[in-house]
Amino acid sequence: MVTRVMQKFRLINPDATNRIEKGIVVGWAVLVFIVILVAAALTRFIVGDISAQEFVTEEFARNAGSAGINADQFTFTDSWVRATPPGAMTAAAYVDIRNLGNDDVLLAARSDKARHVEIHTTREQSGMMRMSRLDALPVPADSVVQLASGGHHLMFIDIPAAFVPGESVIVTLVFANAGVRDVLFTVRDVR
Amino acid sequence: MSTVSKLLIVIVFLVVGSVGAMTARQVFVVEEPTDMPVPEINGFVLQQPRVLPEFALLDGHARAFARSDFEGTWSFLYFGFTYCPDICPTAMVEMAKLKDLLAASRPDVAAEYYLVSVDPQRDTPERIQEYVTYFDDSFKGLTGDLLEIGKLAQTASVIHVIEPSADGASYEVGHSSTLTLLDPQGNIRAIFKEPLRASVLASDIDRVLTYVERVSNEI
Repeated sequence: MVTRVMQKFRLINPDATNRIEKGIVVGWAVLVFIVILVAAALTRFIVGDISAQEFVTEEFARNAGSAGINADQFTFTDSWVRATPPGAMTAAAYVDIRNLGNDDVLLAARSDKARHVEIHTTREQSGMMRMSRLDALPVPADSVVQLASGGHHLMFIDIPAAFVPGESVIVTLVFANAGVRDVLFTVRDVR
Repeated sequence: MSTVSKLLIVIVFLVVGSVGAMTARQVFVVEEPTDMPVPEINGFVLQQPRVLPEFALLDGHARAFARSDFEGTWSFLYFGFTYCPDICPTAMVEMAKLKDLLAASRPDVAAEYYLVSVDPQRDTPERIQEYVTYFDDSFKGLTGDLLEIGKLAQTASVIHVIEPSADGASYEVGHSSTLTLLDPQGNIRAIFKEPLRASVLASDIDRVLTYVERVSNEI
């Protein structure tokens, strides 16, 4: 009886059946799409934006130095001392200081390989190259300050022994805010 | 022969003679001196060689060194001091590289390389000798009385000052960082300025030498 009715129904209007089936398929598709959208939105809400997350990590690293949790706010690269000729009384040292933390100022440097260490800068003035001592070298946030030949350098004054290529030298850098850092320098022969 | 014929012969001789002389001049005489363009370098080429004054200095073995000791070879002079930790060693390293470059590119040019101290109080002959030979065995140092050094420096357009530091215990030395080229007669021909880079110096010097050779051939 039922089959007959259905058969009748189909027989009566097969187009209508097709339309209803299409409607159901479209309906499901829309529902699935909405579910995906909601899920994506929820994921984003819970986990957070990927780029934002990277920012968070950097922010974390930035604060970690002062908080002493993770890596330091300073990165010291290319730290080297120029090997000295025999009889030399002075030597120059160079380093790139990368500061991911807050603004800071390099105030002083010391090493047991020299009676004293000064922060110097070379400048051209009135047709002469002159060196002058700096009382402070600003190391701004998010910057790299280069101490390099022909510019700023650490000057070792009254060295008791020559700097021999390959040897390592520890230099203590004193920052106004971040405090002291011991940096390993390598002696290089650049002849 | 009539007077007219004699006159004609004289005229013919005169014409032939002057044409011949003009041809000979064209064939045998080098062209008129032209204004040689002064080469563009990182520094100055002196159109007139600058003669050094007499001076009395000491070399790295504490032997007397006078103007005539520059004669016979080309010379390069760098004015600096051994206490200098950055600029001077860099210049000495470049001068050593320059020596190697010139030895390869201009083996015909014999040259000596000098560091002239502008800080003789600290730079004794012994001290300057061990300093310069660290960079190259053949390098020579000159030191001596500051007034005598001043004569040489002034002619080479080098300025130098000794500035006492605030505490008075030490002092800083300021000086022009240039390289002076002397010809084998001991006269200044060119002054090279910062940045002193061996490769640039070598090509600049090559052009200066070519210029000097051509200018002296014309005299």
